[in-house]
Amino acid sequence: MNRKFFTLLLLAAMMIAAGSMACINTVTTIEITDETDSAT
Amino acid sequence: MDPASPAPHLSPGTAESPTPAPADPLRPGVVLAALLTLIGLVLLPQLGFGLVYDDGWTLVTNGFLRVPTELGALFSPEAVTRNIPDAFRPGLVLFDVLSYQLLGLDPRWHHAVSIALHLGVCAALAAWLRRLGAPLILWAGTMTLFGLLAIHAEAIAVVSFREDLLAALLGLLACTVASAAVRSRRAWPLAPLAALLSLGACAMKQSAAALPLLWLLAEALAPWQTRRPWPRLFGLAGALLLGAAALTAFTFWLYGGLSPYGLDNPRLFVTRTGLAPVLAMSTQIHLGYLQQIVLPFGLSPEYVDSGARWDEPATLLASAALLSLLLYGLARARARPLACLAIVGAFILALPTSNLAPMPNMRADRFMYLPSLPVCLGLATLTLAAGRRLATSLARPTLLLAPLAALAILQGAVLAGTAFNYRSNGQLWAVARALAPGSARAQASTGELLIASQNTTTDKTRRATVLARAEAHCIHAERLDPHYELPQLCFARLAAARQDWREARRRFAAALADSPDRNARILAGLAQTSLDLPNHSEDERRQLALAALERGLHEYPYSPELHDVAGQIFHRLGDPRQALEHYRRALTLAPERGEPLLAELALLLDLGLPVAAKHLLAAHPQTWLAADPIDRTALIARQRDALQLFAPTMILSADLVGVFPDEP
Repeated sequence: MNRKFFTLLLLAAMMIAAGSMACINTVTTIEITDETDSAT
Repeated sequence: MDPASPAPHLSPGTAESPTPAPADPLRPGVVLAALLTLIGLVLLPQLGFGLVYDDGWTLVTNGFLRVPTELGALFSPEAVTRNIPDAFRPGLVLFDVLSYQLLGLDPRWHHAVSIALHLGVCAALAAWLRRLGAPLILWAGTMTLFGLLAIHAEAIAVVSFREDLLAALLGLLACTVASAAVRSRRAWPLAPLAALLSLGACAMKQSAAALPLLWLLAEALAPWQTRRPWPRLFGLAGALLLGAAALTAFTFWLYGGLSPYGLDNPRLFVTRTGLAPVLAMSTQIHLGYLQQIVLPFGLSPEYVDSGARWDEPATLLASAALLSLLLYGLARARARPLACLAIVGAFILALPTSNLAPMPNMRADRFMYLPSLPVCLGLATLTLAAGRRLATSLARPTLLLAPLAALAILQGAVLAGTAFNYRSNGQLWAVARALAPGSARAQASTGELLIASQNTTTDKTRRATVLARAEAHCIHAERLDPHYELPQLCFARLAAARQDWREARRRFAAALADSPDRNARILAGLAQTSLDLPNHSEDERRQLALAALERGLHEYPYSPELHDVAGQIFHRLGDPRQALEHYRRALTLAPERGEPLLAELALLLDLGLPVAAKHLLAAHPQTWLAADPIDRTALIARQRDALQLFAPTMILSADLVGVFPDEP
């Protein structure tokens, strides 16, 4: 019982991790980094 | 597990129902710890997020958190006259003071606190359900769904919204204590503790005032055990309601009314359109909330306030759906007490944020933190029932948990993904513009962010391009809401960046005319730009600047920005004593800001006190290192010149170079 439960949790964690990648909003963020004085 | 065995676990069974004992049974403590670990892991990436949204107002620029010796002002009407942020939530402000004093402004620690609070809420929910007699599979399922619910992303990922987490934590603990009291032989020793916890919950956020009603409903329905005597139930519900009553009385004492926002506040959409259109839209909003809780799509960090007509099809359909749900819940109270608890409980907890009482935002994901609690109980019950059918019909006992696990995985994945919207202000407002393009706030905030990003840029072409982009956002924001202060503030910052002081002052004045509160930065801008107004005499400019300053310092004595600007103005006006006083106060109110330290150093150099400048710097290493490196380098050069002029024998010992090992 314990083994099944922990296997289920492990699977769930992995599926959540994979699913979250697909759910991250890919909107282009506002560019607020100014590299004028440091870009090479 | 035997297909026939899960039945006793499900509602309306009891915790004490006889179940065939598995060979290797799960212990409640192990289940709780394992599920909390899973929820914690899903939230772990939030440790890398920054301070966003209202964190700026309540944490970063809130000088009140830095002067714990003046804490007494929080419990008097002075809290309102001094514009202490969130003064009507004294418990939250106390928590913020404590967390700031312990953790400083390090976002990682503050996010860790938010995650810990959410885990605490989950554990408290499990404890209360267990106390009510819920079987393991149901309390564990409910807790998992609540812990991973995607609509909670905003409440957990934005540090300042921990008010919801704190209110839920204390409120659920109050419910647990009250449930323990009602089951113990002598209830009254525990009743004061329950009342105190309930008071604490309401002091964090007033919406916790509805929790005692949920407690009474749960105890009255008693889905898993026999109902306790009515006098006890009403007595303990009364004890829980004492907390809500005390907070209501406190708010009335502070504001002279039940609403801390004031009835004619232009931030309240209800003052523009009246209550009927707001309530009509509120029915649509709440059906939307329900969909977002069950199927997590359409979540957003920003929603545009708008009204609706009662005869619109959308309003009619939403009203009919919600009313049918409520009637079903009420009608099935005896036959299906769990369904009644889930449905009627959600309605009760949604009441405080249902726009019946005017609020500055008509809709926000975080408003569903508490109301989602009974919904999760209902969802867990439904998915477990579906799982039981599936397991029975396919003769696969392991399928019992399949629907619940699938829903939890979906919610967890969307929670983790959605939380990334809140990792920085840049990301937050970009997503807000994409999801709510009609939001004047999103457009104006984007404009301000773009302008702020160009403060130290030396490339003129790039600067002009970015400012032109910012101007487009300011124009768009003003078109969307001409009577809102943020678009005016956006234009004011743009004009200041272009050194058009007349336009900047005009826009700051327009922003002030539109804004009912949070005016510290507007008044600071107004004072600062007044000194540079063209075509005004020296005396006029001085008077205008000092007038804005006087009002600002009177209304916002805890604003570090205002004290910094006051120091700069008195510095420019040739009043070093007052300048020094305000620089020091600004440094006390926000030790993380480098500007007042650099300005005070410059003042000391102007006064011919280079050795004092060195001592001041040595006393504030972190602030110095947080300041702009270009300004620091310029000050070091100035200090060397001053040493040569005023203290040539001290050149070797008082040089700023070498005070800190990583200074150039």
